Amino acid sequence: MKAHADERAASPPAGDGNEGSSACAECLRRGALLGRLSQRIAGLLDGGDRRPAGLLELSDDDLVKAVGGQGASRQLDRFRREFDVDRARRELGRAGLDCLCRHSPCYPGGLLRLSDAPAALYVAGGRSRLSALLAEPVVTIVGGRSATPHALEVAATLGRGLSAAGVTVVSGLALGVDAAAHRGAMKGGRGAIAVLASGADVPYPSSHRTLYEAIRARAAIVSELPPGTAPMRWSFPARNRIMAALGQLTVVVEAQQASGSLITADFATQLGRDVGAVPGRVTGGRAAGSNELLRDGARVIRGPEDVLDDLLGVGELRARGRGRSSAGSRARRDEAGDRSDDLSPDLRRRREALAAAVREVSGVVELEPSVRLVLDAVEAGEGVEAIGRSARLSAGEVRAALGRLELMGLVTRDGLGAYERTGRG
Amino acid sequence: MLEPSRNARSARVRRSRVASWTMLASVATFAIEGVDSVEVTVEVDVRRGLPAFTVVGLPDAAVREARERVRAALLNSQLDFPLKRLTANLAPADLRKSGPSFDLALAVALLAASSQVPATSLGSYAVCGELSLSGALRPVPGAIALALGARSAGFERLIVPVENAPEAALVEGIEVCGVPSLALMADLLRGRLPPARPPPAPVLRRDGGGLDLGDVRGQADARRALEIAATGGHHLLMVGPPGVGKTMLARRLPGILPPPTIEEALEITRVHSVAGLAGGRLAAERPFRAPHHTISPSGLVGGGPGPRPGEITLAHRGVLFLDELAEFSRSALEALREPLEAGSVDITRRQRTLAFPAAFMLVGACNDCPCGRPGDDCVCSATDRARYRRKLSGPLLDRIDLVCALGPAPGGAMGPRPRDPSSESAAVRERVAAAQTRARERLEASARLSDAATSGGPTGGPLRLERDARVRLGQCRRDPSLSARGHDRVLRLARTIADLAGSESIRAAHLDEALAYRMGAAWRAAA
Repeated sequence: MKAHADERAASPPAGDGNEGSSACAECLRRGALLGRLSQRIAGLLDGGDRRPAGLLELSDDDLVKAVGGQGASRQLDRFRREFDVDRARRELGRAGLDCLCRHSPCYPGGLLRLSDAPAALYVAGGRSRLSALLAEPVVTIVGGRSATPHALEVAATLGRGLSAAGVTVVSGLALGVDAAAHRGAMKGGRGAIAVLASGADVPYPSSHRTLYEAIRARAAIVSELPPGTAPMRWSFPARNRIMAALGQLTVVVEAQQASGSLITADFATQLGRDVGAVPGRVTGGRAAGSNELLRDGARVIRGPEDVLDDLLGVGELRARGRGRSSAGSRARRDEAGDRSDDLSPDLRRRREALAAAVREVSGVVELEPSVRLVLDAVEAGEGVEAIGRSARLSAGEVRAALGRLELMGLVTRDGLGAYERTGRG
Repeated sequence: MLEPSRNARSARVRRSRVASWTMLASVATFAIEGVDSVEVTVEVDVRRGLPAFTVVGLPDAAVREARERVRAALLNSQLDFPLKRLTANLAPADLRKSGPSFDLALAVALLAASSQVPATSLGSYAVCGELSLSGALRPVPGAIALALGARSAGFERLIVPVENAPEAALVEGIEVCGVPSLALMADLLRGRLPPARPPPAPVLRRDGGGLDLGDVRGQADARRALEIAATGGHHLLMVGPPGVGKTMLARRLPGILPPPTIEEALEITRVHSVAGLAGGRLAAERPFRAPHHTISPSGLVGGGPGPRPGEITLAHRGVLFLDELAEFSRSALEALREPLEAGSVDITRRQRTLAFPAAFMLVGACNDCPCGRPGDDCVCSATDRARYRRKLSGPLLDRIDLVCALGPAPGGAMGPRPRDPSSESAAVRERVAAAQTRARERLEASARLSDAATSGGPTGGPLRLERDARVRLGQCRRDPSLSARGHDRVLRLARTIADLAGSESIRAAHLDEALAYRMGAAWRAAA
């Protein structure tokens, strides 16, 4: 944590105004080489966990030798002959991308901790915006693609709350948790950084094109692969190492046993960064991977407040212990207000922003007893059918309460039967 | 209604003045077109020449084969088959004729043209039936449609095979005679046999197929949805993992619907009789159709060269149950859109457009995702789920008012347990009927009164909202996921729920419930 704060201090201030590609020719060539070799690396790495272990650390020559097979040096020579820095810069300009090289002052400090730090980092959305985003505390939120409604809701709440509290959210634009976190962060006002396994100008998955455009317009999208590169199986774990290196804390929302999110968490641990996980159900397999992280000592993340605490540190408040009902969370915020002397000014400011964001979407409401019963049952994760039994209400009364709660934004539906508590109220 | 034409008919059969060996006779019969029938005149010309029997007027193979049946039936009934040049014409000549139901009319026209029966009596008769080689008459499909057609064309009597007579006799205003054989038919025309009045059609005993809603354990949410759907005729979708009772509940829906009125029963029987399903009885039960998900679009909405009624028409005034809704072909599901709204479907084939009635209640059942495993056990990818939902999304789902969720039954639910009398079919049926009566009375009252507190609403009548409901409605309007149609549908649904609750006006709680039963916005967004 300490070390990382130093790195942040080393990174230049936001908005240096020096747009356009200033990356040095060597790094640009390395980036282009990666794009050129992408297919061959894929051939080399298929099978196993597909992590390009050590491969990306190699120098250009060694990398070509490692993946090139026959005639590798001839290919490298030709590539060197044909590579034209000016043309590469023009291509970047056409694609609307910036490129930061590892010698550039704007290069994200967090990445330098990687032994195989990308030589070139392609940025869509502007380097000054990326610098501004990285100047704040950064949290990486990852999770499974086929996520439960619960996980999606948690991811969106985390994204939104943290974004409102001025924390930058990093994720991978993937289906499921990633997209939910991005969407939440966009709603929270600050936007999010998306790290892609394809070129920064290639929206992947293509069904997230709208989300991609929104992030590109208001925040930043980064990738180590040159424009136009299609994603390969190896580039996802490679991308995960960038995500892990960017965030001071990596939060796994819901991951199965063999999920790529665990690779991200693994990288984060190797880099000495904190890893947190959202507790999931222990009976199904959907959260087996993230639950195992908790078992191995990852931080327990119950909501944006926990992330703030972990990022910015607040020993006292946590020592007091707290409840976890919705009323309790409100009390917790009040408590935070009362004891604000103990907090650093920065954390206090962020807590207030978070509390304001929560207030904005909920509004304080008095619920009738039967509606409260149903809300509690939804919070407990019960289905519509079970709610009626546990709350001892008729089906009509249950539905009326659910309709009211949905209208108030306190519950939401994924699919048809499953109601989910939102992060509001 | 058609008095002059009837007089003209009695003069149709006449002896030629030029050649006394030439005879011409014509007999009216009816052909099924969709679920209606059209008049077809069978003319037979008997002329001296090489023995031959020709049928013209766009006959299909079955009609052409009628020649052999008519010949054998006449000879086996001890009647004469003239060895002359016989020409039969089926008019109008541009209408395609199919099926064996013209046999009897051909035989009778031949008898009249060869002077074996007096031609004078034929004008007031319409004749339909299939012949067997022995001369016995075989029943034909669509007896009610035939009788309705004959009545509106102004015929006094309809002669049908004796098996069809009870069904045809359901139509009032026309005298139906059931005849067992061609020989007796000839006797009837010669006046030797009094026309026999057929016995009234037996009414099917109402037993709901022995299926009672009380048999289903748990699933209060789905039962409530069924009750609301039955009251307001709303379309319903049941979502839940396999084996929780979706099909079981759907099969019990006809049992909680009030029995059809006499008019509705006639409509149901007419459709079923055209499809050969009526069994000669008046339907006292609403139909329940459950086609398999491999059905083609034409099979579902009607079609074929005929065109024949589809499942939605066979479910007219009843329930169409589509199990595994998401597995139906996309084109079949999309074809449902217009009939769901209009209550009928127009099918155009071979330059003819036929209207089929299709006022049915759609009940769908599907899983929450392709693998069907509940909650955390689900192994589907997000893409799989999105694709599955996309299949159901859009205009079809916008027309479905109620979506209910079924969960696993509570533990220990399988053992014997005292039944709750209020959840048995009879009790539910009473509540549904009472609510429908209230709705009818409300509409009648509002037609008489101009109430200041009402506003014209989508329920076809004025809509009275309590103050708290107005406030709630204002909140709903701010929700962008609710389309204008969705808004109207929610109001309709709330009106039905208020009727079930015996409330004159819609309260906020009714609106809340209606909103919660409508399709989740998230499902639509995810799709």
